[in-house]
Amino acid sequence: MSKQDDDSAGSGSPGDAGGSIFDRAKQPVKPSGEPAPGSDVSAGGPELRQGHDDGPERLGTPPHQTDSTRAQSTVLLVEPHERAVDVSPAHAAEIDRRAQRRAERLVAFWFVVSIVGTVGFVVTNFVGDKHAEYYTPFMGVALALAMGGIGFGVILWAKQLMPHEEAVQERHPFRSADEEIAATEETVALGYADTGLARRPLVRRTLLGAGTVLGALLVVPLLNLTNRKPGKQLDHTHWVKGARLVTGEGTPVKIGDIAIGGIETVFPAVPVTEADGTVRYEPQLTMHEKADSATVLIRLGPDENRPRPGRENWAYDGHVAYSKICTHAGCPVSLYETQTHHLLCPCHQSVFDVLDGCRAIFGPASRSLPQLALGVDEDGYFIARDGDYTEPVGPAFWERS
Amino acid sequence: MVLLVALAATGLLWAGFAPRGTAQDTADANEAVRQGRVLYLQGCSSCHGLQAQGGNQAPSLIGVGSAAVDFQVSTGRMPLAAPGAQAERKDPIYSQTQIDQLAAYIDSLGGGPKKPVITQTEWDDADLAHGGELYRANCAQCHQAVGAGAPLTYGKYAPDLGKATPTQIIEAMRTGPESMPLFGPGQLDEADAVAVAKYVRHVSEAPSAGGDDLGKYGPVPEGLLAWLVGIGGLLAVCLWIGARQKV
Repeated sequence: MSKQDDDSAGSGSPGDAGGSIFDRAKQPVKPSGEPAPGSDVSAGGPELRQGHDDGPERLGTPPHQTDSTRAQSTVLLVEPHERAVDVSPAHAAEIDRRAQRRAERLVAFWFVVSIVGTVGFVVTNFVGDKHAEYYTPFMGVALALAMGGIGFGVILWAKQLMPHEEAVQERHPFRSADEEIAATEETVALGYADTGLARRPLVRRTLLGAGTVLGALLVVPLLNLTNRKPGKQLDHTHWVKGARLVTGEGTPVKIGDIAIGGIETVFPAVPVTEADGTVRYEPQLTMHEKADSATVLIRLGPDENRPRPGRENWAYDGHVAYSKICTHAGCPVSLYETQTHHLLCPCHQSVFDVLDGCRAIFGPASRSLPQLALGVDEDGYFIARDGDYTEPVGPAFWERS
Repeated sequence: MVLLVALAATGLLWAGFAPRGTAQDTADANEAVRQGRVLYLQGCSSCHGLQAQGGNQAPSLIGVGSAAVDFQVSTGRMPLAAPGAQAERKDPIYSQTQIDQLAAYIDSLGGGPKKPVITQTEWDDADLAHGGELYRANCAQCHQAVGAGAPLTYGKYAPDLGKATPTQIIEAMRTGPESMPLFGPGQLDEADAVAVAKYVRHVSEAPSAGGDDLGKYGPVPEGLLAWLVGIGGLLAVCLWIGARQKV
């Protein structure tokens, strides 16, 4: 028995290949687990052992016990196929030495790459043109080399130069020790006795009651789901009878503004009668008001429109107006192909045929876009002649009638 | 005497303020129309007809205006390489002089949108931010937020605006080529049109500070690259770190 066993006797069982990392660094172990007085662990590595005088150097924490058993501790830098060849020990050592030198150079190369990257980063930062296209990518690459170089070097170092060993650590038994179980049970029992719940029924019952009532809170969010219906909110937009069609900037659209083949997104400007009897038009400004009222105004060529029965006079001089909100998922439908008169939805490729009442002809949308009846007021501005759309705009919803 | 003085003064004034070079300009214009007609008969009439009246394969060109001619020919879309879903932009085969002559000939058949002339002052005064608003309201749905273009139906597409000159951008707005809607002066006035063109040039020429812009197609290709190359690369490095050294 060596001194190692004596030192670790206090914490680990004798014979176990343990000890703190400091001990192990000084006392390399053989595959058998026994401490080896002479270091033959690392092939050609530096001598790790510095002496047996490790008694007084023990740190405050006792050496940690491990269940490690070491299976393999030799480093083989020689390739398997090379080993198959009959190599004399001297020759093998020579190959080993050269491989190590190669590995050293590789590691050093990556460290130099890191230096180059750092210098490149700093130089680019101060000298480079911050508005040039190369600047940001170059900084990124330089920083990646600066940090990655060290990383790659360190990993290659660990992989190729440091000794390899395979350690197996056994799982500790899952069940606690009997004494610990007994102690825990006793603590719990004592604590319960201290609360006096068994002796004080008033406290016990009110606590149970409070817990039950608190638990009933869980029902509240479920109830919330049942009493919030949209009502008629989704059936209407902000179009009213006589509202002018204005662009997103608030400019009213008058007849002749849009050329044949033109398209404009319009919103309602609601007529407000002032005290002196004049009427002014109030554009809807908030996003919420604009959102459900977005409408596309398209000017078709003469006699191109094929109005639906009952909608013969909804168009005005070739102008037609349809809701801009896709009936599938509510995206803005405004990709207008003037030759085919198709309106496309950019989200899911629904296609609407403008000439045929914006019927959905392709894609996931199944309902036509709602149409707005157009008129022109005495000043030549387009108005919503009959008021709101006759059906809800946008995607379907549960309460949609 | 007074009458004589008045007559002399009128004569002098006429001599001083008479429009000069009118006859010469008219002669030039006529010459341009004549040259344009020759070019038209050689290069365009097989499809558009000998009188530009159109035919089975091509629309009538009467009344399309010089802006349409300049747009179609200067972007190389016309003459068409082959019939297809859409004419593609390619290098123009006519010189600008020839294009102007063709435009003069077509313009002589009936008026239409004229080729716009953008002065340097107009260009400098154009409101870039306002142009951006107008672009996002009217153009971005098809041409994509920064003018990279996007597909339409049946092989048609809204083209990439990266190579379009300001003149071509305004011509396209005024004439509505192929599937594109037409944006007349009633919708976008001259200043608006120049502002939109300026914005398109601005976003097309803006340097990409983050390196390659991946076609400016936004988060989808960027995310794809981040997931496949970025995270895939990290996984590969992790595997390499964790790999056993061969013994």
